[in-house]
Amino acid sequence: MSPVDDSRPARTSRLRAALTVIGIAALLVAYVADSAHALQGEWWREIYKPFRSDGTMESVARGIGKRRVQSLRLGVAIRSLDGVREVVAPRDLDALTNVANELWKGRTTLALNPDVLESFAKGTWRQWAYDPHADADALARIKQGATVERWPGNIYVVHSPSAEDGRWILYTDSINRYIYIVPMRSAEEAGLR
Amino acid sequence: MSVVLRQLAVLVLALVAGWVALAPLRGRVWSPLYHLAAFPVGVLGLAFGPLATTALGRGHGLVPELVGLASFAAVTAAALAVSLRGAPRTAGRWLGEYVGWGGVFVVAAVLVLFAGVTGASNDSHMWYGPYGLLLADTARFTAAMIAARGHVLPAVHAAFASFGIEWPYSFYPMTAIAMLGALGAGMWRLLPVASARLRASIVAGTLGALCVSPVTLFMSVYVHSHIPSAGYLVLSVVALGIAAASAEDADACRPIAGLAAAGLVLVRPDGLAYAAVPASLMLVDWLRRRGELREVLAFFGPLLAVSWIAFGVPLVRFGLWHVPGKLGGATALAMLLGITLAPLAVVALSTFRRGPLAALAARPVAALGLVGAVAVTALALAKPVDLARTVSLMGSNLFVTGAQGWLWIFIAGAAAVTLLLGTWRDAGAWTRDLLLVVVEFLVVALLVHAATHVGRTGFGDSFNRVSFHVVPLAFWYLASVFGASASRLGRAGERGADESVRQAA
Repeated sequence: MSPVDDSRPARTSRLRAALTVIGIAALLVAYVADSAHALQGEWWREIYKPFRSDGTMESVARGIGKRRVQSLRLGVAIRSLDGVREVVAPRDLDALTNVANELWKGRTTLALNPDVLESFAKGTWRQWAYDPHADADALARIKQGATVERWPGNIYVVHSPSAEDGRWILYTDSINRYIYIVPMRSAEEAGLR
Repeated sequence: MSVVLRQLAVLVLALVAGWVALAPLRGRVWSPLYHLAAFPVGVLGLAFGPLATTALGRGHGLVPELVGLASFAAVTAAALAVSLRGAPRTAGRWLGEYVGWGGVFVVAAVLVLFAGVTGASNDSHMWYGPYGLLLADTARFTAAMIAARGHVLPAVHAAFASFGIEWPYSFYPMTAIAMLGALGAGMWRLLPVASARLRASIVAGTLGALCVSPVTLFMSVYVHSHIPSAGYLVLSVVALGIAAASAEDADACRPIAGLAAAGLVLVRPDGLAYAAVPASLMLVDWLRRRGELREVLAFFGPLLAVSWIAFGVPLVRFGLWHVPGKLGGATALAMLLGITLAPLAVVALSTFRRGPLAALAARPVAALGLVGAVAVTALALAKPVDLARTVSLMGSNLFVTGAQGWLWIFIAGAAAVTLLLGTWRDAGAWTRDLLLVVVEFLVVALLVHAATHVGRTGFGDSFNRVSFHVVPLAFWYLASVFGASASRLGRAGERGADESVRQAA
């Protein structure tokens, strides 16, 4: 490890040191002022609004807003399905397959809320999408001229001319408010049909 | 038992497990580091209960979780005791220290618990929350869980769930407090400033400046991997810094750095890539000093043991799993092999006495730069559009669209001042190493995101959030140059700065 470079003239060294202190301090003041200003306002508008929790999911549901309550309930709802001991989360296709199989075998009764389908058809799907960014592409494709076919077990297949194989599968959880969408090919590979 | 007491029980359990795991280091390492490392190391141990039940395919509930945690603590303590056998140990008032540090921890936890502030995004309530509940329910990791969210946080949520807490909001602020403690301790020990008053002012000012950012405040309560990742990265770098500066602490510091690096691996699926940051810092320092082989083992032993167990269990159980868009089993295995082979390659490199490889070994920072340049070039050839788009998004989010305010404008602007004026060279070797860490982190982040997911504009972008992990270390670098420069301005300070810098060197 190299020691301090003492060969530089002391005056130049001090000047550089002084400019460094002034430069960092000036930027620091600007940064602190900006942060303080942000903290006085509604800075969370660009991030996510913090809220208070008592350690329950219900308090989280209240904190993040009513619209997302149904998605929050997903984990708990899936856990209650008899015989399903697999971890289930959105986008977890393997686990979703298990749930779908349960639905397929009629072990649980689900019904697609017509309002959901209607809002979907109207293009207001974003409020139902669990991750608009991740699924924007799939949903956008479904929106283009999709038709819906109902299968047993209240599984709805969306025929979309622009999807890879022309079809997507759509089904809901037991809350009747939540929509999963997976490509039909995955559904077939998983033995859903 | 009330919600507060149940959460407090889990937090204290993790602290005690960490104390036990690191017990052989007591008296052999700077006391604040031992106590500040205890909680994050104990948290790491929470993953071992579900790992055991996943491996055995049996067991369920609180008892296996506690047995797993206790086993982690006992095995870690035994391994450390064996590796440090014969090392001198100073006497101390241990009971008083435990009471003091434990008391501070409990008071902080109670304040956090009563404040009850938390933050959430889709990731929080769609992944971490349900995964924790389900892991508590099933006591089995799944490939998808590890691929999407890593080991530690589902296990932490599961541990709290076992105590009846669905949303462990207290864990994240406590991790933030532990991170700030480690950062403050590291700065106090390593700032190139002789004057205690100036040093104290700079440490307090840096921590205050860090905490005043809305990004830091939000990350401290955000139910996600960011504050734990930042905490493990800071702890690992602090321990390596103290090891480099103090020969008497070094042997006991490196295992802490290794365990913290393991925490980095287990806290996010891409943690396998970010572990390269402390690992390469360790190897650069070792190569520069031509240290002993046992030093490499002291760091990589804990890192590799924990990582191989954590990924070995799912690899054996599920094979080379494939989860679309997430960490695959083959990728995890390849990266584990990379982390395992890297120290062997560096040790082999150190044996060359002449030729281009010897020249590389003599300039470890240049060698690391070469590795980074090769990686970026390879990616540029393979995915030029993605790389360009990632660079564009990173810049856009850090400075304009990422809702970070002046945070990165300050960091980049102040760093530019130190680079343009050349004062970064005058603040000691450790300060230069901090700069190396920050730059390397950003390069790894660029590689990870360009190779896997390019991202988008806005706060929620992955890189935009991940960038926070290195913010504390960037502040430390700036504080270090600031301190050295401020010391140089006064005659007395100049002598002190030089002396302190030499000590650090």
